[in-house]
Amino acid sequence: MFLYFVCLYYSCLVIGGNEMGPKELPELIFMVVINLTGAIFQAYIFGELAVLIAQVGRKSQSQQERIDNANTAMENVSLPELLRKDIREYYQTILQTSAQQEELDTFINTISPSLQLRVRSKMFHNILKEQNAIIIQTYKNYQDASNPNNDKFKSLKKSMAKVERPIASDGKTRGDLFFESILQRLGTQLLSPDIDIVSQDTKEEHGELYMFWTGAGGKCKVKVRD
Amino acid sequence: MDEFPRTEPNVVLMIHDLESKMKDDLRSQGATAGSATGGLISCKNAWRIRWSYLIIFVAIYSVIFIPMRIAVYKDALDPWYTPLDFFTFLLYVLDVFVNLRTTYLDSFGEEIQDAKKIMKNYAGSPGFYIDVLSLGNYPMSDHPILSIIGILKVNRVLRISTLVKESNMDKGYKSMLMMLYYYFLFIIYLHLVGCMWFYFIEQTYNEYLKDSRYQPWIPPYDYYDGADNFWERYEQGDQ
Repeated sequence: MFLYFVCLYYSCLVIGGNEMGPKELPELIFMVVINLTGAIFQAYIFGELAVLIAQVGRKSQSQQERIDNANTAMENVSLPELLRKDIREYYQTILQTSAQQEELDTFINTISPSLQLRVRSKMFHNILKEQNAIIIQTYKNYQDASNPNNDKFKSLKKSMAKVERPIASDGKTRGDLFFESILQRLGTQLLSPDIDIVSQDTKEEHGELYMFWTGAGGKCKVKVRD
Repeated sequence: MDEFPRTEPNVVLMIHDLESKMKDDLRSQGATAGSATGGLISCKNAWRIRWSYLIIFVAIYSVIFIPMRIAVYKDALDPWYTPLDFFTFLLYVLDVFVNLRTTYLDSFGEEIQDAKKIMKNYAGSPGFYIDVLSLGNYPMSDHPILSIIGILKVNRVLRISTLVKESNMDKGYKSMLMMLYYYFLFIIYLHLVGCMWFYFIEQTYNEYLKDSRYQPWIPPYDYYDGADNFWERYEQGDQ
């Protein structure tokens, strides 16, 4: 192996542009050709490597930049250490999740509506299965909406009809259409801590379904005003 | 909530129906994905992808041992080299035919399944000429030029890049794999330059043996004081 490693060693020296001691004309020509072609090859490989290395750390780097920015701002306004600690923890908690939410949003927005429906079916299938009672309630409402005398869910029926018209020819059942209509409205949303999700004062639009599930260990409080 | 029990059979049935339909859809898509007709092989076919992995593995072997046998160790892997050479040559020939029958995605992302277009696409690409030219290094060939042409099999190693780019893995892992790929390419480059360099300096030494007025190329670590006696060690078989 000695001979091979001598070759490999000198090959590394050639890459670094070291003196290789050529004396005769063919040796000089050989070294010039190797160095010139090697320069292009090295530029290509190391250029690609540099881009890839930058890509690998980009996400964590941008998150760290935000935390650094917050640290500087907190230092400038002389916030107490306890509050700074809470803020840092808050950043650490939400930054990773917000990046995931952004990735999901980008992904969902770049696929076709039919694929979106299939993705949502997969994402929310278990939740829908677990929440039979709520779904049944909504389904009953949907059935009520079929009644022309029911004013409350007329707009729901209208929106359902939009869904029904093109897909009905595919032989899908009413239940399928109903679930698809729910799935089309489902999505994920990242909410900051301490935010009002739904307020009792908000006027609901007819047919809006206010169902939500907390994910990733989230918690929420429900306050009912008299 | 009592009015609508959690175990309402209709809803469970509806969810089950929807799930079954989705599974059927996926199954039917799975059955058609990667299949091609008329003796063609789909570029998405799992076996086609495995074939690419095999060819890449064999090409790595060739890229390491062909230059090594030309320049440094002329009897490396003997006596197994000849049967291995026959086997790898057969795989390379098969690979050209497999490529001529493999579908490809056009610029609109549509899989082209027209045999003529496929042949035209591969035969019109530089990769085809490099692949065919590299077959010039047939088993048992002694000609140094043909052996050097065999190094063109490195072209097949470059397929790693396409496989990694088209793989469906997390972008972090993908970047890491691409970094490893480029580093591996760099090592192959070092290997080739190292072998080429030794091939060349050996020629200068042979020239010196014929005519003592010609100075052999002495590696730089021996250049300054000559105490390591590189060529003497080489002559004594210290390899």
